Amino acid sequence: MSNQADFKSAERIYNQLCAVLDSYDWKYVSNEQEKTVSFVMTGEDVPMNFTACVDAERQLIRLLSPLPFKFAENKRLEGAVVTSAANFAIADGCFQYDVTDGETIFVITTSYRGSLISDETIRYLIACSVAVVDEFNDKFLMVAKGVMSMEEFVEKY
Amino acid sequence: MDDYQLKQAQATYKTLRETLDAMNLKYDHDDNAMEIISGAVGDDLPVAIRFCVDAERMLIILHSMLPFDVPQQRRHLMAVAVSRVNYGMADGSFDYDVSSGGIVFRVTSCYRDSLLGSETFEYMLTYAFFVVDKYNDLLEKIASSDMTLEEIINAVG
Repeated sequence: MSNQADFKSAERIYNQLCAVLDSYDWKYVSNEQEKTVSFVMTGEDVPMNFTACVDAERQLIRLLSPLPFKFAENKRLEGAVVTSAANFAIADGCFQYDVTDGETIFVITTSYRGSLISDETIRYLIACSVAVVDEFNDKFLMVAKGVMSMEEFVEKY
Repeated sequence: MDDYQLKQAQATYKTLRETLDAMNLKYDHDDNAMEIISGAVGDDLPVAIRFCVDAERMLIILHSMLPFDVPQQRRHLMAVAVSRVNYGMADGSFDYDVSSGGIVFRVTSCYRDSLLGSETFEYMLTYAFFVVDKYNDLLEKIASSDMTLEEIINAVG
């Protein structure tokens, strides 16, 4: 585990994270011990689950959003190709795709090491995640269901 | 880009250069574009480093382009290798252009209304170097091999 100063920094960032969510009047589930907060957003189509966590060891704020579906075994290669194409198209964050079980998680991070992080940065992490996940989740689902081919997806992005 | 964004970008770029100077790192720079080019010799392949300040998005981005392209016939399967490497990574991602076969590692930090310290830039640089040096030769080997999907999954681990 990290030292006392790192722990205090993590605690400060965690409180700041909760304050930002409070400022939106959003409902969320917090775990002070783990320094995580979870909340749900409704996008244009597929619901979006988010967990924000403060990684005291690495001094990172990390926001994760697991997609609510998996690529079936016969679509695993397609999943790898389309999540790779999406990652190449975005400026920040990435879709982490588990080719062994077809799960996809969007992850965005920022370092707070030796830095003063503003509420605006936390708002940006949330807004960016919501926008990226909302843009891609339905297209990934279409590929997973065979409605869109991976070639069509790659051409689009 | 407004005046405030430009001033924040310039302040961030200044801290970045001061950090690299303090590390005695040799680099080329384009102060107008707010870009820094450097590199190092890894255990095997060279590691290219390009820092840029994205004033519009208020991001500091480090890119490290891998020194090879994936041959046309391996482009889809290579997405499996890149996905496998990215999955569970604490920060950053290998972005893979399925169309051209290029792979670039990217790690970012957001400085929106924030004050990023030297420690964050040092972290980005050392982290990128570590990750790229760890995986570049493996990815090159997979790109030039005839490994199947299952063999790739086992090779990356």
